[in-house]
Amino acid sequence: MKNIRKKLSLASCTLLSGAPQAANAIDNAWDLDSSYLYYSEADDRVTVNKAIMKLSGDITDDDRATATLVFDTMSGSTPSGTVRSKTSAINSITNASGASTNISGSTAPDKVEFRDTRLGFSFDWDHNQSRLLKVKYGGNISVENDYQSFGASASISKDNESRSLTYTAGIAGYFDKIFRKTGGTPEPLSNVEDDSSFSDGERVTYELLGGVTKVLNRKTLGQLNYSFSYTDGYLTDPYKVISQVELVTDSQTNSFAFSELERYYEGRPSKRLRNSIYSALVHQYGSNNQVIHASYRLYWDDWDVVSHTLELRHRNPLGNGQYIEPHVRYYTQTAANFFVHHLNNGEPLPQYASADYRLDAMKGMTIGIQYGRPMGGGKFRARVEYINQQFDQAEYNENLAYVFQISYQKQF
Amino acid sequence: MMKFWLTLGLLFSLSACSLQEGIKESFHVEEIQPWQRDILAQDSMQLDSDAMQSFADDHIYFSKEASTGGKGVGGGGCGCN
Repeated sequence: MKNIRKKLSLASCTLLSGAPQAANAIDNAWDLDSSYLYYSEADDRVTVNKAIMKLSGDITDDDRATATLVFDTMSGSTPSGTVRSKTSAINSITNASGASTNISGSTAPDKVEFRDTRLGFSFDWDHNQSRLLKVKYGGNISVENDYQSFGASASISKDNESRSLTYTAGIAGYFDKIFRKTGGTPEPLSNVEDDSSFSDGERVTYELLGGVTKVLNRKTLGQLNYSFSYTDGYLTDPYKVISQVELVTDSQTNSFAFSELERYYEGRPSKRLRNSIYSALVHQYGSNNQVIHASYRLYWDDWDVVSHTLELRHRNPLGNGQYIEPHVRYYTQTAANFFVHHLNNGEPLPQYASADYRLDAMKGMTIGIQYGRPMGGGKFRARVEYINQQFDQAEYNENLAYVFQISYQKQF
Repeated sequence: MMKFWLTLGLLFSLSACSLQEGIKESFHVEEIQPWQRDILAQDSMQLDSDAMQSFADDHIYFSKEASTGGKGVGGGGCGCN
């Protein structure tokens, strides 16, 4: 009898002491998500290899920490902004890596080669202030051979009593430093051959966001955000240039061609006000529990860029935790008010000018597919995407790119 | 390669057919009790259902387009644009 009592007592103690340990083990579960991405543009343009690691875990019942590390290598060539002229008087160019290359000859390269690496780190802290109130603090740093960025952010989310509605407000600030590998930045709209250089460029950005997330029904969630940002400082790309040209007759084809006479560094305004309205809808439906992710963003800024972004993902479960998710994204934008294809010989230089194709009017279409499945107690995902961008006036009026990404997430 | 795009096109067509049904359902608003949140708690139902994918996409489009932002604050800059 005594022996049985002892055994029961031991069993009770084991249960009592074991339960909290099990609960702690779940509470403190850490989540590691890692990914590798390969991005490649056609015509030997840009190639990017990206590795991402994101570690998050509960520090206490009310605090969760997340650290993200990113490492990128970028190489290839990118359009400099010059015209593909029949003849050029330009003898040297500055590559996007900062090195100067002698190109004396009949035709100047209109693409510049570059090679760069980027290391980025960000840290986020989520804290449950109360049952309905959450705050989030974030900090980030990003370093490249010719760029440094430091940022901090804070946001607050408040649920209503039934937790069907969440209001969010956020604020962020960044400080960026821009310089060429050889130091300094070129004087905006100065002649390339004058080699007139300024000190490193600096800019600050402030962001504000207000949003609402609504549970529409048991299977649907909607989100609506408005965000505003203001940037002040050096907004010019220190590697982009513009050709000053005159038209010449090509006797071989009996057509007109550009002859590049001078080459200038681009110059952009030193302020930018950006606005965007972003809406998203997530909905599960059907006997197979398919999930639609649909979003639309309207963006406008004081450089006269207006853009529309429509995105749709459709997750189709295949059973045993596997799924396949087609993705389509459509994007269109108007040109910045200082975008030019070239400068005309004999005309005075404008206050601002850029021939950067990304500031041209464009239409973009992305189509892709992702496959996901459980693997080794975690989640494996692989996707492939094809991006097609068509530009209105830019010298290179097309950019085609492929993206391949694999990711693996596991809790431990 | 052609086969791949045809398969992708077929998947999108099937998605579009079932989408109509989904849109009708999604705008029906009803109050949800705490015990009815099982579906909303699923990974696939999160606004950002794949952090690695959205993180990479944000970087790609930030570096290739003139517009950015909208989903949230924070993140960080880079010299790609």
